[in-house]
Parts: sequence; C-alpha cells; structure tokens
Amino acid sequence: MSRKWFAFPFLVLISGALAGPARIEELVGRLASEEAREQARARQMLFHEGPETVPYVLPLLSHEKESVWRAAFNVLEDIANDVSAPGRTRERAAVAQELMSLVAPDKSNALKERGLRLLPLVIPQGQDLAPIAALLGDAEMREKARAALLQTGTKEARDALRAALGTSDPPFQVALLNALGELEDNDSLETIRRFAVTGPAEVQVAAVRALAWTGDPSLIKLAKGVRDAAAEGLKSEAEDALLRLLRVVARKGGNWEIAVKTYEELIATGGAAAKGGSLVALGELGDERHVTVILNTIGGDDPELFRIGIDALGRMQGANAARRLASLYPGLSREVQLAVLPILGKHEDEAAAAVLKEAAQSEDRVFRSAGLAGLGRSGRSDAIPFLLAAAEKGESNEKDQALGGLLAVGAALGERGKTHEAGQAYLGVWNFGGSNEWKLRALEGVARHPSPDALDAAMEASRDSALRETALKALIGVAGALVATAQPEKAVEAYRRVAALSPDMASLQKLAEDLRASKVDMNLAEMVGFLTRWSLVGPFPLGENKEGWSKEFVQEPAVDLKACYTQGDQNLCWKEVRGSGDLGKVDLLAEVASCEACLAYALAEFSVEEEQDAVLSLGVDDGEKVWVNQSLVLDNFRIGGLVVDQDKVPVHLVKGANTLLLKVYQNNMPWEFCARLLTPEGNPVKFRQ
Amino acid sequence: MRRRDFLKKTVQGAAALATASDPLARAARAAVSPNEKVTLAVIGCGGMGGRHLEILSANPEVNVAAVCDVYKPRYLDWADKVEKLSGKKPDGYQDFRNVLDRKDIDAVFVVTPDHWHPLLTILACQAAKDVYVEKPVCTVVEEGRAMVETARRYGRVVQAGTQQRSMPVFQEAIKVLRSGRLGQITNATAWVGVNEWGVGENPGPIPEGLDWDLWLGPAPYVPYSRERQFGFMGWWDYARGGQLTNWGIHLMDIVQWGIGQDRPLSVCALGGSYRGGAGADNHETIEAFFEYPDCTVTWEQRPWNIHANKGYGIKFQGTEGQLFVDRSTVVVKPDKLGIKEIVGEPEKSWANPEHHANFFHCIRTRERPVADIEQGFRSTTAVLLAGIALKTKRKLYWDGDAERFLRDEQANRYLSRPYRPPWHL
Repeated sequence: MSRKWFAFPFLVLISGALAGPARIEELVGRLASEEAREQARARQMLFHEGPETVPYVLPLLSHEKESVWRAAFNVLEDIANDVSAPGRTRERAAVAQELMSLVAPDKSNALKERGLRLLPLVIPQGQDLAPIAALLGDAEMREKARAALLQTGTKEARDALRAALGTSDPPFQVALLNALGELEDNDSLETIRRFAVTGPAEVQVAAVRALAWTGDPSLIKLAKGVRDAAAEGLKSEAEDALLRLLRVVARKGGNWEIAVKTYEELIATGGAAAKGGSLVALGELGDERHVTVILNTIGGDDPELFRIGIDALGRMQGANAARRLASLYPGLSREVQLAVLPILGKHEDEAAAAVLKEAAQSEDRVFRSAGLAGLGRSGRSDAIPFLLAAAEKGESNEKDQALGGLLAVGAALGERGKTHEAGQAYLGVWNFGGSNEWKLRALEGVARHPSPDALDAAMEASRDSALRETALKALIGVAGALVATAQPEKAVEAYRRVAALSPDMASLQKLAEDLRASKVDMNLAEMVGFLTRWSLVGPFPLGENKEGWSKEFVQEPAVDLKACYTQGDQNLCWKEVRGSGDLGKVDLLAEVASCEACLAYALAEFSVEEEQDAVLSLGVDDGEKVWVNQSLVLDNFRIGGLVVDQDKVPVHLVKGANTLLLKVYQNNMPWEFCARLLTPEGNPVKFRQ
Repeated sequence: MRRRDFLKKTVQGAAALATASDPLARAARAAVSPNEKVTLAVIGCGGMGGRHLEILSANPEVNVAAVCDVYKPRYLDWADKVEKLSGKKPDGYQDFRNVLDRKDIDAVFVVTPDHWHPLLTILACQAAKDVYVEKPVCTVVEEGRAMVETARRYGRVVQAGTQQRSMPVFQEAIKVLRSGRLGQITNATAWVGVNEWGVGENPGPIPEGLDWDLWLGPAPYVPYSRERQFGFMGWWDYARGGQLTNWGIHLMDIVQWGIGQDRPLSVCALGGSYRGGAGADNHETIEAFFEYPDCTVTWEQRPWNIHANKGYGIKFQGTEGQLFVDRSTVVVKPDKLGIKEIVGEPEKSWANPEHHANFFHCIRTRERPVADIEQGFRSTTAVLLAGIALKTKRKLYWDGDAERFLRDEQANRYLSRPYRPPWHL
C-alpha cells in the first residue's frame, strides 16, 4: 500500500487533534513538503485557519523552492481576498499591515515584487502607502509599484502617483499620467492640466488622454494645441486623445456644436485614423448639414475612408439626411452613387425612393442591382412592382437581389401590419424564386405574416416533403387570416389540410386555439384521427393483488353492449359518451366514477372503407389493455399520466366495421384516455363513427 | 432504430446567417464586386494561428498578405506554408506595428496569447483595420469595454472568435430552445473535463529570434521561461482562469445565447487544485454558479467529466424537457417531444470557415458580425466574473449595466489591470 494512502487519514487525524498555532504550524510544514497532494491539501486547509495564518506563511514566501513559495503566495492571496470582504475592516487592516512588511527597504526585490502583487488585494481606504510610494523612485521597482498603486486605486494611492509626477523622468511621467487617467482622479485634474501645457510632447499627449474622461469642453482647445504641436510620430496618439475627449464631450450633451465643429476640423486636417474616427462620429451625431462634408471627404482615392464615410452616411438618422443625399445624388461620381444607393433605401422618403426606382430601371446592370438592393431595404410597398419585375425577368444577380429585396420588404410591411402587401411580396418570391431555398424563405415569411392570398402557395408547398414543416406553419397562419377576412370555406380547406399533415402537439394546440377563436365549426379531434364516440361501463375493482386486471368482468373481448353487470350493490350498464375537447379525451372520473384502484371498459365502433394497416396511438392515465377486432394488441399495466400519442401499436383494420376495446386501469387522481388512428405514414385514418 | 436527421449546411429560419450558400448572402454579395478580395494579416502564428492560416490560405476570397509573430521562426515557417497552400508568399513581420502601418491590409486576425488580445484589437481599430480576435477577447472587464468603445469609435467590424455561433448544430439548438417546446428554461449547465496546469518555471536565455519584451507586452516584466512562452494559459498574467477562460468562454457563450441573457445577477465559485499544483495560478477544478433573471447556470470544470456521453457540452433544462448540445450533436429528452437527434457535420478544424465567411461578409456590408465584439465581451465577462468569485471566495453581485460589482470595492479591483509602459488602453 502506498505511503500516500496512509498520509491522507493521518492528515485528517492531525487536523482534528491539533488546534490553533500548532495546527497551523503542522499545515505550514506540509505546505513546504515535497508531496504534491499534501501540499495541495495544506493550501486548502490553511486558508480556513484565517488571517492568523499570515505570520506563519510569510517566511515561506522567500523559500528557495519555487513550488513552496508559489504555494505560500497562493495561501496569502486567498487570505487577502477573504479578509477584504465588506465588513471585515479590522482583519483587513491587520493583514494589509502584515503584508506591507514585504516591501520594506531591507527586503529583496523578489520579495517586494510578491508583496506588490498581494497588497492591492487588501489595502483599504486610509492605509498609509508610504512604503510603496517610496518605490516609485527606485528604477527597478518603480513600474511594479506604479502597477500596485493603480490597482489599489485608493485616495492614498492616487496621491502617491500624483506626487511622483514632479520627480520622474518623461517616460515614467507618461506611465503615471496613464494611471491617473484610468483612475479618473478628480484631485489630479489641475496637476494633469499643467502637464498638458508644459513638459515634453509625449507627456502632454498622455496628459490630454488622462483628461479625456472628464468630457470637459474647455479642454478641446488645449487638446487641439497639443495635437498641432505634436511631431509626426506622436500625431496619431495626440489625435486619438482628442477623439477620446470629443466622444465624451459629445455624449455628455449640451456641447454638440463644438464637438461637431472639431470633428469637421479633424476631417480637414487630421491623419487617416482621425479622419475615420471623425467620419464615424459625424455619422452618429451629424445631420443633413454634414452630408456634404462626408461626401467631400470620401471623394478621394482612399478606400478605407470611402468605406467608413459610406458607413457614416448610412448611420445618419432621419429623413432629412436621406433627402439631402438624394438631392446631391445626380452630381456624385458613379462609384459614390453606387455606394449611396443602398443607404437611400434605409429611409422612408419620397425623394430617396425616386432615386432608387430610377436606378432599378437603369440600362446599367450594376446600377439596376444597387437600385434593387436599395428598394429592398426601403420596406415600401411601391417598391414591390419593381422588385417583382426584376425577380421575374432579371439576370441571375439581379434576380437574387430582387428576391432578397422582396423578402425584406415583405418583412417590413408585415411588421407594420400590412399583411396583404407583405403577402404580395412573399408570393413574388414563391412564384419567381425557383429553388426550394427561396420557396422556404417565402413560406417562412407567410408563416410570420400570413396573408389570405397565400393559400394556394401554402397548399402546394404542403405536398412537398422538403417544405412540409414550414408549409404547415404557413397554413395555420393563412387559415387564421382567411377567417379574419370572412372567408370561412377557404379557412376550413386550410384547416383540413393542416390536420391531414399530422402536425406535432404544439401545432395541434395552436390549431385548436385558432379554431376556437375563429368559431369555425370543425371538430379538431375527428380531423386529426381521434375516436370520439365510446361506450363505457364501470367501475370494477382491481383487487389487492391486481387480480382484476386478468378477471373478465365483461365478456372480454366480445362484449355485449346491452348487458349489465352486478358489482356489489350496483348494476353497471354500458352507456354512450362523446370524448370532449380538442383530443376527444374521455374523462372516466366524470363519466364512470370517482374511485381508486379500479377499472373501466371503453368500446369504440368505427368503419373504414378499405382494409389497411394502421397505428393505434393512445394516451392513457393510468394503464390499458387493448383489443382491436377482439385480438389483444397491448397489455400495459402502468401508473402514469396521460401523454398524447405515448403508446403506439400497429394494428390491422378490416374493410367495414371494426371494434376497439380498452380496459383502463385507475390508480388515483386523473383517470382518462384518448385514442386515435393513424396511417403508418402518420396521417389521420379516414373512418366513420 | 432511432432516426437521426443529418444537418444540411444551409442555415434556415430567423437565426439564418450569411453563409456562403445562403440565398440572402448571395443577394447581398450581388451588390459588391465579386473580384474584391479581403487582404489580411494574421498576428500570432502558434497553434490556433496556424489553424486559421490553413483555412484562410485555401480561401479564394482572401489574400493573406502578411504573417506576424514575435517568434521569428514561427512566422518564417508559416510564410512558407501559406505560399505552398495559396501560391503566394506573404510578408513576415516580428513587430505587429509594421503590419498595422500597411495601408493595403483590410483586416487582421489576432491570435496571440490572451493578454495581447485587447490592445492589438484597439490598435488595429485605430489603424483602420477590421479585426477577428480570438477568445477570450479580454482578460479583465475594463479591457473588453475599451475594445467595444474603440470599435464603435472607429466604425470597425470586430468579430470575436466564438465560432460556435456560426455552427449549424448550435444554431439548431437555439431554434429548439426558442420554440418553447422545452418549456421555460430554468437552468443551464456547461461542463468540461480538463487537465491541470504545471507549476513553476525554469528561467533561461531568450531563444534566438524571440522578442521577449514584445511577447510580454502589457504584462509585468519577468525573465524568459519556456513554461510561460508555450504554456501561457497556466499563468494569471496572460490568461485569467486557464480552461475557465479557454473552454469556458465557448460554452458560456452558448449558454447565454440559449437563455437569452448576458448579464448575470450574481456569481459564486468554489474550486482548487486537489491533485497537486498548490502553486499553480489557475485551478483545475472549478464549480461556478451564476444567477440570471429567471434561471441559474452552473459551470463544471473537472479533470474528468461526462454528461449524456459528452465529455464537454451544455445542457439546458426546461420545465418540459432537456436539451444537450456539443459540437457534434443536439439531443432532446424526453423522446415524446418528438425532436429527433440532430447531428452536425464533423468539425474539421477549430478555425471555422463559416465564421470566417461571416466576418468577410460584414467587412463588405459593414453589418455587425454574428459574434460582434460586444457579444464576445459579454460572454467573456461571464467567465471572468467566475474567476474573480473564485479568487475572492465569496458570492458577488453584478451590475451588468454599470459593469461593476455591487457593494464590493475590493472585488472591483479585479475589473482592471495595470499595463506595463509604453502600452496603455
């Protein structure tokens, strides 16, 4: 047996037997051991000893073995995190004080570094940070000290960072300013502003960046000055700092004019990135007055700016911008016209629509395609004739463009409740799409926004197995639309087709809800194959040993519906009932008796026109025995709720009259069943009752 | 015999994406010149970078113009490989700034160790490049928010490398969830079985051709060790959580997509390294619990972990049924729901061509991609929060709008990290 196996229970014993310091010392010893699993366990357990552990573990932080000092570090980190939970003020301060000893001047740099990683986790507000601040002047440790103060983020940390600005070289000043900017320190604003005015260029840029979060519009002039004075290598950084400031200024509100004016200046004089950022901003913030500015900027040969500018135009809100763009359109270059056409489709504007329609009929196929793309985006019903024409007769690319556009227009119109027009668009896709991919999209559209005009298309689709599932959804919607437009005969046609497609339970339920709401006179249960007329007799006792399950209370299986049966002091005779609800369910509690551990019989007689194989599909609470035409086909003694179509049994039906006899077991609570007949393919069998 | 439906590549329904075969995608492309290739560079030519390069090199819509890696032998090797695969040799660079200076490059793939993801993305956006950034998109919450802000400020398309959003098997799973047939989703569980990380390092001389200072970038300076260069996921300075942020982001991304929420209300976590590794930065065993409005989410990370015969995956638990999904199948129980098992096409590479295609489509159309940076950031945030809860050893309450912990000043210190100069966000 291995030593490791023995160590584990020994450790458990030790843990229980020792207390306080002795226990901690034992665990610390394990932490310093060679055994990985013992070390892991010790790490886990030491944390639970709490902050008293710290002085015992601290010495291990300078252990010569890496696995030991790392394990010790992790224990201290766990404790530091734990005591920093809200409310544990005293413990937190005590641990912080202990850990502060790691950065004392007499400690090695390695130990200081470990201390600087731990301290930010635990330093509370108000803690004196002089030992860390002192390290800001140490060339080797200053960056780690800065990082620790940044992460700590207390007022004392910010004060220390700010105080070091005056005594640091420019590269470190930049780092300190970055930190103060991240901390969004209000107390440092004046100091940072001074550095933005005086000091080397890189420091000025860092200072502007550190002020950007304020969104103070009075800083824009300062930031522009820094940017103008920056050498080439710093220009893009300076512009980025200015852009950061402008974004916050613009967002704060009340300074839109100055922000937008500065963006325009940057577009005129800035580098590529600044131009791009400014174009984006004008797209978000600008209005029709800036359309010309953007168009002028993208007129050059910079593909990046072109794309950004077009995107910016597309982001502009409101019809005025679209109108302005439409008015300038004739004077634009071909390339810009092509790029602008899809944008015009985003806005509901007559002028924009006129441009799109003209483009959609252009001799130039590229313009036709772009015009169609724009019309597709427009969501306008007057776009439909243009799109239909292209869908019918267009070349391949245009056709796809038009079909996609029809779908988009259909969706937009459907969302606005214009289902008739939406239907026109979807039918266009159905008629001219050609492939099943397009037809499917058309059907999906009809399902979302059903139009009564789509009945024929949906019926046709329901005969294609690849489209059937979506056609089903479309038919349900179309049937509802037919009812809503006072076309009940056609609605019935649609409902019958849905029923014949053997929909899943969710679709059936939707169908049932729609039928109820529409008040169309149809029996859903019979439509989807449920037997609804039954003769019942009961209750009969199950017996303590379940003997009733095999006892023939009636002449199983050739029952006599005129017979009656004596059960105790009751005379039980067959009675006729009809199943109720959407599934023709028979509630035996209501129709037979409220009993437990009992049985009832149910007989259905029905006729079919042809001899055929079928599937008897049952849902029963609780269990059932089943005879079809007097042959036992299922013996299912179970306790459980009714689940529609849970039990499926292959059966054979004869031409003419058939019988179905059920013996239904009741345990307790609900007692009910439903039964339907399906073809082997899953469609309802046609029968008469 | 149970019937199974094989998934077609073509995506259908409201969750449809612009895949190569999708008719709407073809229609969108019809308005753009078919000759317009996307010119791009890949920054980071390690394991995952190599996978991307294999797929990109074979893509006729793409011109791989440059490869970049701080370790010269890697980018030299991949420049040759790309030439063999595509017929054209890309330029090779050690310093990404040379890549970003090039005007001809439209987009970059950022496939470096995690600690470089945010800054590279930000700098690339500033240099007017669109970005595909691998997951996790950031190592702290503050970085992620800065990435989103920069992408919006410069109008860039930024796709997160959560490629499962482009995989039909997950899209189908989402459709089933949205159908309501499982009832209300009250819990989701994501799980993975993984190995532990090593402990310790052996500092040594910097290998020939490696710019160690650039490799470290914004992370604290430490002497070189092979353990850091080739095992970055085991170190807190480069990866905040190890497998939690490696696999966790993929799975939690789908969880959040499935439950329709991306701002947890609270999180707590337990865990450790129980077989050894007391000195390891990142744990092997983590159990995290998230609370979202109307549901809970569980994250299980263990050395070995199987549910429903899946060694990793997600289970959505509804009031009417369960759904299990991983990269190969979707299984729905109980059978009476009538939803047959869905089998996806076998995954050939972790670099996903459909996810690439969506990125390129959005570069042309300027739409937001399927895994836009905001969504990638929110999915990354979830696992980062779990890592912080594990560290602080207490339940944390999250304000998803303010992106701060409530009533826990110390936990909020974990939301940012200092950047080593000259780097800054």
